Amino acid sequence: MSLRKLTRNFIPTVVAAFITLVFMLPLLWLVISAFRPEEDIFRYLSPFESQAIIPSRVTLDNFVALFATGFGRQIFNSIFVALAAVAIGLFLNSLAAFALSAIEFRGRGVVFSAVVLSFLIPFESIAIPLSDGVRALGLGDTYFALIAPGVANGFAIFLLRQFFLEVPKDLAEAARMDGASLWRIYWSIYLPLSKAPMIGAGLMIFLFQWSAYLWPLLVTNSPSMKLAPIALAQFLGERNFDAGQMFAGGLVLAIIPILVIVPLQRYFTRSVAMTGVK
Amino acid sequence: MENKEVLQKRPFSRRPLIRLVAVVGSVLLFASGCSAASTTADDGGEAAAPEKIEQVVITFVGPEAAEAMTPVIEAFEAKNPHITVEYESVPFSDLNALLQSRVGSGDSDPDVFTADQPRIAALVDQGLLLDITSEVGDITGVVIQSSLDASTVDGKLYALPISTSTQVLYYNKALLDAGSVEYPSISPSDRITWEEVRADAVAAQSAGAEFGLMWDQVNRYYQLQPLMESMGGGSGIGPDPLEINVTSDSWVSAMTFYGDVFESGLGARGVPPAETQGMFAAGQIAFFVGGPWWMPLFQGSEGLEFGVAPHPYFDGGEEVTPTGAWSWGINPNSDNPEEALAFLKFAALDPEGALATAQGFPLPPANLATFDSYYSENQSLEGVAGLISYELENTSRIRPRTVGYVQFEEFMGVAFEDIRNGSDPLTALQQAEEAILQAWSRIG
Amino acid sequence: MPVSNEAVSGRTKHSSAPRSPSKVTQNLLAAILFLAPAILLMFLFRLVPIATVAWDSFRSSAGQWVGLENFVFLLGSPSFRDSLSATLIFNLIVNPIQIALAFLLALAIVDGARRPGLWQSLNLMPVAVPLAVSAIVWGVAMRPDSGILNSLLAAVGLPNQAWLTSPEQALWSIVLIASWVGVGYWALFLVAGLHQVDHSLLEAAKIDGAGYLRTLFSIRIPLIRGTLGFVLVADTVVNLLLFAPVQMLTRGGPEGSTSFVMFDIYRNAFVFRDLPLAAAETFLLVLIVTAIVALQFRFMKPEGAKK
Repeated sequence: MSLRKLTRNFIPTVVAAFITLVFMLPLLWLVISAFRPEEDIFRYLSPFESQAIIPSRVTLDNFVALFATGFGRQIFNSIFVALAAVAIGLFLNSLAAFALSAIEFRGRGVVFSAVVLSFLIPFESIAIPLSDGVRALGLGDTYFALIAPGVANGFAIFLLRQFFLEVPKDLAEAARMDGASLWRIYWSIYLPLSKAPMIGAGLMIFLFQWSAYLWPLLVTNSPSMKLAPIALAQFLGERNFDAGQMFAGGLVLAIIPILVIVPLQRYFTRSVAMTGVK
Repeated sequence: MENKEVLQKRPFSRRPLIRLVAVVGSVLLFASGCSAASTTADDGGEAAAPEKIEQVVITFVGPEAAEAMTPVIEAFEAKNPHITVEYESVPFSDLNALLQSRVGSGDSDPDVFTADQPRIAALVDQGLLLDITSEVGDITGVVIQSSLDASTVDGKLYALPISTSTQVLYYNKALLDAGSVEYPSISPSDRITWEEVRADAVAAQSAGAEFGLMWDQVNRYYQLQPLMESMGGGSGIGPDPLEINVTSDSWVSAMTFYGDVFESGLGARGVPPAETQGMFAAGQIAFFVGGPWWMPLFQGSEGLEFGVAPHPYFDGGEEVTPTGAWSWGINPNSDNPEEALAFLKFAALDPEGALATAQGFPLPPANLATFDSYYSENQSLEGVAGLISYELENTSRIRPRTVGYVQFEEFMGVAFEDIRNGSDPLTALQQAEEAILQAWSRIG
Repeated sequence: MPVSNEAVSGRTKHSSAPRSPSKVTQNLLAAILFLAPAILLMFLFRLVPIATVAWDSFRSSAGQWVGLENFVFLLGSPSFRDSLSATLIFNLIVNPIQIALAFLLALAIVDGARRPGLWQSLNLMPVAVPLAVSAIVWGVAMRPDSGILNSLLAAVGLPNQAWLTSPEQALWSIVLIASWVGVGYWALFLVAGLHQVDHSLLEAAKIDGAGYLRTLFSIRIPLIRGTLGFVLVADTVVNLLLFAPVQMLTRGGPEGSTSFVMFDIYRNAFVFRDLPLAAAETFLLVLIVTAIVALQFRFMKPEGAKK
């Protein structure tokens, strides 16, 4: 019995660990570099010495200097904008996904095609006309300008639609027989069953907003609205390259989405019980 | 401050289409409304009643670090209490995107921005710079002629020169000692040749140096132009602004030399310009061609003993150094052109202002009067000041002035990197020439 | 499209009577209400701008109508055709690799790896690292003269690789960088999908004596068709539009081997400010992406083969 248990857990663990380790290597260098003095970051690379990844001097100076530049405020801006996009976006996108999967109506295919088309469009190609338009409407340099383009996310609608399509129709049929409205079905049946894809969709919206660089650059200019990724760019200037602070900032930016995801892990590690079906 | 001809060339405005969308969308948009937190430039108060002077805010964008602008901004604001200058630091490549987008679509923000001197012709062609000829007048003799030339298009002035640049040869004393290599002389009349540098670099590397020879902006036209010029290949552009020749024998020779440095392992591949000075600071390079602005960094590097010599040249060829840096210009759509111009004049033409500007970032000022005080105040440049002045006066050559400069620089950069990575120089140069000509065919 | 769930319309499954007109309108109205906010935002922030871009593609920089001139220029340009092939080659390589690895990781996480949450979280980090930082980190890792990767290879006796500095290896290096971000990210969605599979079905299969692979291919994969379809389409689209590593690290080189269409578009729009050309190129790229995605949807039909 213990052998089966061993293979049951051992092989998957090794596979997961191996893949993770390989992919974490560059990050490892990033993490270590953020915690060492500026001069040491690139010092041991040519030729490659073990000291490149085993630091002899460890310091928090980079983080201290980074936050002294007001990075905290910029992180706050980024978090605020990302969470706002997620909150509004999850709601609106799931509504649309529900309509596209659970309501039969004429033109459904056309609307879905439009949704698909929307995520085939590279954002960089429309960034300039879009920023022109936003500024022409006097909405430049507002939270609205930062958040709005990230709310309706074609990928999110697509993802949720795929999941909603697999919700057994019997559940909804039964509810319909009981006189439930479409809203009720959406809210009380489909949503609770879709925790995992909702988290996935939320993550997509969050990351789109979190990593936005070009768009905020084009539409905002006041320091109070500055977002974290743009703030990081100041460390790679013409005659300065503050790698330490840049890496420290990069690390902070990389960890925050993880902190958001970790408490939500349980919705991924627990399979959804289809108790309603039987 | 008229710019009618320029208006014609301004890119197609989408305003009519946008107005249509605005009517459709404005209801929803304002229904979801979030608060605006705008602090963009206010309207100037120049037209207000004479007794009441309103606060004017000038927005200013550039790639230098924010602290670099503090001295000149503070000095200007002290003299002009009713004007506030707000500076935003944006990385160079993003700066262009930002300018194209904001200024190009008619936004009045930013009022002032830094213009890379060789790009000024292109900026003017796109209508992104205000003609300030009549307001400024003739400033020959006030600023370095090469910077002034770079800021002038068709006889009209479009930006004020702020800074210029040059390049020197740094060498690591310890690494040279190990290879029994004599230090190059700091005197321009005893300028070391590329051939000698190469031989010395090989010796130093055999004696233990990680790398023998590297350039600061290792794959950029700015840095490598002197190689071709010294070989007699010219800048690659001319005589007409949209005429190119980068496949001549001189060009191929110069590029063969360059490619060979990396092929033989003297120089490092795969290291971007941002990381090269760090390698010299860490004692990994014997000879490093770079800007004088790295002096403070190298002086502060533990264990690094270095010297400075003039930029090398090819034996029998011309002695050429790169030059040029920033000019500051005004957005044609600015709401406060007069205040903006006052700021520019202070920073570029007023000796006190120019000195404050130069204090912020270690580039030689374009303002001639400030030159000497800049060097006397800048201790890190002791001993090098004479060399810098000499080069600026005698060997500096600006980058070609052409409306197609951006395409030229981009594709030449690709070619240089390819040659650095082992491509055949002639082939790479031919491909660059083709790409550039094709891109130029799109220019009016 | 995958098997469409029979709409919740209040009609029993086997009824053949036509739906009453009021029910149809009721459905339409309901659908409109549910869809309106998202679709309106999508319209304003994606569809209208792309219409603008399409409009621009028929015009010159000064705004005059030039018909197909921009398109003719592109299609006649060898460098554009080279970009097309570079892009397509890249996608033929990167998509199968990423999806296979992501699926492998997802299976490991779902099928019993200890600390599944840890692996999931760690593998998500790459996608959250700012692009500029990633570029520096990977540039350093891939230095041909004893970068981190080459040092690792040397440690196991393998020779130094050129990575981003050789025309042969640069594309593969970009594949590696893209996969570094993509594998953990797409695995997350696959994990969510795999968890939706009803345990009772898996138990039944086990009782019938079906092994791991049999269960995987006959039961689990068909049941997560929806999620798989999403990951396939989304990953393909993301990779067809990918250009950030090229912009930061190779600028299309060496020797044009990483010259992706989207990078060319970016360069035309933001460096050269040739907006009409960028617009025409976008038009063509979106056309190609649409064609590929349409093909994928076709393949995703109920009994169709997995791509």
